[in-house]
Amino acid sequence: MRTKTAGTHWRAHLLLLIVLVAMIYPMVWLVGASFKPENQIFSTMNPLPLAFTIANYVTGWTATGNSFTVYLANSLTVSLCTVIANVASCSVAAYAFARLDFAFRKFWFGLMLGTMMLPFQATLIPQYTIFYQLNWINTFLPLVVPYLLATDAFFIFLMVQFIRGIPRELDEAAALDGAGHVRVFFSIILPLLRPALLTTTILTFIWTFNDFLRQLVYLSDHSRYTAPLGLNAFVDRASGSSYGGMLAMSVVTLVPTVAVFLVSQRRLVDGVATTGIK
Amino acid sequence: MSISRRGLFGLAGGLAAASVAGCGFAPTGSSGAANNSLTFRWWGGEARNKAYQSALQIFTQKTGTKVDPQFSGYDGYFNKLNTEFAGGNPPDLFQMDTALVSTYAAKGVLTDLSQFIPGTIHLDTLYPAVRGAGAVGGKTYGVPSGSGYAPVLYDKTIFEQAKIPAPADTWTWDDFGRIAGELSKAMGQGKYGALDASKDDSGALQPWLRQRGKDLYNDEGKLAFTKDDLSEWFAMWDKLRKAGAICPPEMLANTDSAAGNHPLISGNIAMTTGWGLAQMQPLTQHSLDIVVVPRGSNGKTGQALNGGVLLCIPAKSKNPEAAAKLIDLFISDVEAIKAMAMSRGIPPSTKALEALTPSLSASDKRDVTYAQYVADEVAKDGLPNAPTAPPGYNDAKTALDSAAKQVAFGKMSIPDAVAQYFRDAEAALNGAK
Repeated sequence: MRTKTAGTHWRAHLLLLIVLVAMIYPMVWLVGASFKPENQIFSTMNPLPLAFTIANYVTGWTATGNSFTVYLANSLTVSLCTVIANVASCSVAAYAFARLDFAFRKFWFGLMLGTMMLPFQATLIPQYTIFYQLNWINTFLPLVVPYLLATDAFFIFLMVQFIRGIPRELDEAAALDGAGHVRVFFSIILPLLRPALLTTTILTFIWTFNDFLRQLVYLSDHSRYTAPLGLNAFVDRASGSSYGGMLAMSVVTLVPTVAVFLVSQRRLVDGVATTGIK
Repeated sequence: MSISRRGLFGLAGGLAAASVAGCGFAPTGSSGAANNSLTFRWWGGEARNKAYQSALQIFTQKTGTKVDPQFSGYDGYFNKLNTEFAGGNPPDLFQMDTALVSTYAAKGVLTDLSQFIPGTIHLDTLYPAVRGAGAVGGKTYGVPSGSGYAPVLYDKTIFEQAKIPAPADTWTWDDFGRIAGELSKAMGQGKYGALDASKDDSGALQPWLRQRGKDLYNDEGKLAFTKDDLSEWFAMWDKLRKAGAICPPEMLANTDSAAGNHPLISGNIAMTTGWGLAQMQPLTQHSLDIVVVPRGSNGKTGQALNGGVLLCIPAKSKNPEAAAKLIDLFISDVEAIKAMAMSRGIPPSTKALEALTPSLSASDKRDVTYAQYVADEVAKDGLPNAPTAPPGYNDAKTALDSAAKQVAFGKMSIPDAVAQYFRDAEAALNGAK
């Protein structure tokens, strides 16, 4: 392997820089435009706000009927509950698929993976009917409770692959010391599963926080609205959209997901990298 | 075992704390509407949301019926509504797109409002031209909450810079072509006088057809014009395109929403059909104005007032009587009309306009005087009212868009494009029955 010259480094950095600018431009535009007066958002080319104003944030915060404080709190509640439900149920299900021997295990595993190919739209109406009969419409229950039943096949698969990589000898040693499945799961598997659990936590949080259609269908009352639904209320093609408020609140709504990603970026990559792919 | 127990307790405790803090897990009770309550769903921007809510307060004061307001943006609105209709839990009253009412009515999921007219809903306060906006097959399924009109929207600032006088409301299609050509020259390279509106069914083609005594559709939901009409229509725009008076087809990509990349906002064109001041003016520093669509050689405007948006009651509404009362409040209650002012669109009755005129701002007055003007012109035209958009309307609209663009891009000759449109549109309209 020959050592790279300073020249190639320089060229690689330049290329990366160009790609970076192309990818970050929409973000810069978004943040810049959120500080512009409404009638300059689209009519000035410069992404930086020359006529700086925070009016979009002040009016946008309460413009859609309820304050964004409520929407963000609702979003965080739904996301955190989903995360807890998903991590708890998926890890148990994954342990069963990876370590327990039961009838038709491969068949059930295949069936579980098959649910990943089922489009959300196909189950939307039957699900709605069930939740309506349970009188759960307009509550967070339809958004959270299904995850307690380990319905997110992607994460089960992720954890199964991870557990398969943990040497069985550890389980066997614990079993010799008299540990049952519960003890093996909590004392051996769960601590070793931490990278996969973190990946699940982060991805579940981001996906739930950004989800739109499910929250739209199940939540009708404005005190129950989540941040994506609050943002949607800014846009109306017929009577005119208030883009200033929407852009400002988009920036606010981005903060939690970006923060979660920044804090956990390295672990997220670790979790995926050590899973399955050998 | 101590670790596992702690873990378990932590999990359970976390769940409990989150659900208590959230308070979003208990049913609201509003979904099972009792006799004195009503759920009302609409889509709208900030202005419409405030306007509707102030009207709802007046409704609650007057009737004692509580209204649960459920509003969102247009995106996903019909996804949610369709899910609820399929699940058997639609709202008690909802806002409807004029173009979709016949499709829903055909599926039998809407209440026929005729039983409430004229006892509860005073339909006769509306302009005669919009009373039938929600009529399908002789029954009334929706009542308009505002009136819509489709003017030519133009950039006054560009006209002034080019020293070209603004179009007069007596202008004809010949004037339109001449002015667009002059603008193209004055505006310089890469900019054009007008948008290519050959694909615009309700904003351009419909008035043009009505000026000649025809229309887009007839009452039976079939096409009400001939291949010769459409050939002539495409030929008129083709001539303007070749003369450089209207924009090239590449610019048509961003013309479906009122956003910053619309060529009128980016300053690449000076005139467009299909949009009003309310949607576009807030997006630009240029000053915009509206003028009636060019007249036919017989002086008729061919304008068709439409209902804007409709209010409909689902067949499974839990409280249809209260919903009908709320519809009536929107169209005939002076107090509610004043509270909503212009933010729900142009009120569709002379009564409403008279109640509002004393207290309007300058730009609102412009909209109101224009609406009144169009209503008067429609009466002068003496044409039959435009029929409600039939089922399959959306696919027929797409067929026109596609045929017009094939011609504009030079991919298809005019006769071929006309034949394709008639094949696709007729299939769409017949298939939807």
